[in-house]
Amino acid sequence: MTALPPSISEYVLHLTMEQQLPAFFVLDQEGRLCEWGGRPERYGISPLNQEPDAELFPFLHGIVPLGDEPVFFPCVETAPNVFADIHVFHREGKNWVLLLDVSADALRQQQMQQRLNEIALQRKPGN
Amino acid sequence: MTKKKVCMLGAFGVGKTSLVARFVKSLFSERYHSTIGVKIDKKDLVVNGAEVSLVLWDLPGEGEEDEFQKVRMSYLQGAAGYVLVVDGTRPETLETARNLQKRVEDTVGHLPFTVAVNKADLGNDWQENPSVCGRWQEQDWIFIPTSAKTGAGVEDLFQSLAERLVKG
Repeated sequence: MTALPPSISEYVLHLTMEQQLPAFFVLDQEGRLCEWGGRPERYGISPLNQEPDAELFPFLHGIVPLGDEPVFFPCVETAPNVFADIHVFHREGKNWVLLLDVSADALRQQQMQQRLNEIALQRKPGN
Repeated sequence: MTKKKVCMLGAFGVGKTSLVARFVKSLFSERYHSTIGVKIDKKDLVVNGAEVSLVLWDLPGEGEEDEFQKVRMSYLQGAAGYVLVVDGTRPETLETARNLQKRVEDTVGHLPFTVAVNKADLGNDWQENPSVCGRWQEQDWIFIPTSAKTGAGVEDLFQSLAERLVKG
């Protein structure tokens, strides 16, 4: 794979920042919050409250203590009608949790899936 | 408090979201709303005198023919157990449940699970039909008839699974 020229990588970064509203968290091995940034409020997460971490990040339950293998949970509803792709990975000695907004795609997909499922249910014998 | 992650699995339209809503919020809606992505809910229970928190992952329904509607097994990472939901008025959803159970075993390994035979309020005659259900009983699956609409069997479903998860 060839490297992307700076113009392209900057454009992609700009798109991601504008459309996917990243939020990040740095956790220790036990899942305690060490650092955070980006747009956590978009996902209904309030790190300033310093709630117990399992409450702050219910999606991490069962994978803490964190291992070296990256974890990806696509399309998790973190707040009403707010969906995030959640990436958990280890890099430069830190455990990172990255949330990227996929709400628009999820809501579009939901409408389409709803129609398809309703049609499929109507086709069932007895309906 | 002990926390246990439990995933809700099954074909689309079997009532996974409704079972969670009934269990967590004592609510039921007649309107069908297909689930995209994952919704995480929590409910605390008392199991053998100890408090246990169930972290419920309501997963999207599995399509019977559509490859794009296959449930991602990555969601089961860290799960202690799962509920396989079938629709008592749609016997074909048993086959979807069987396929899902096999995929879980193949990718995540063995986890405790219970089968919720939902929509019991509509009458589930096929449960009594040995030609339909016989081979499932042979596998020692635990079936619990449930109705998200009336609430029948719902507490029992989650309570009995929680007891098994705590027992380990």
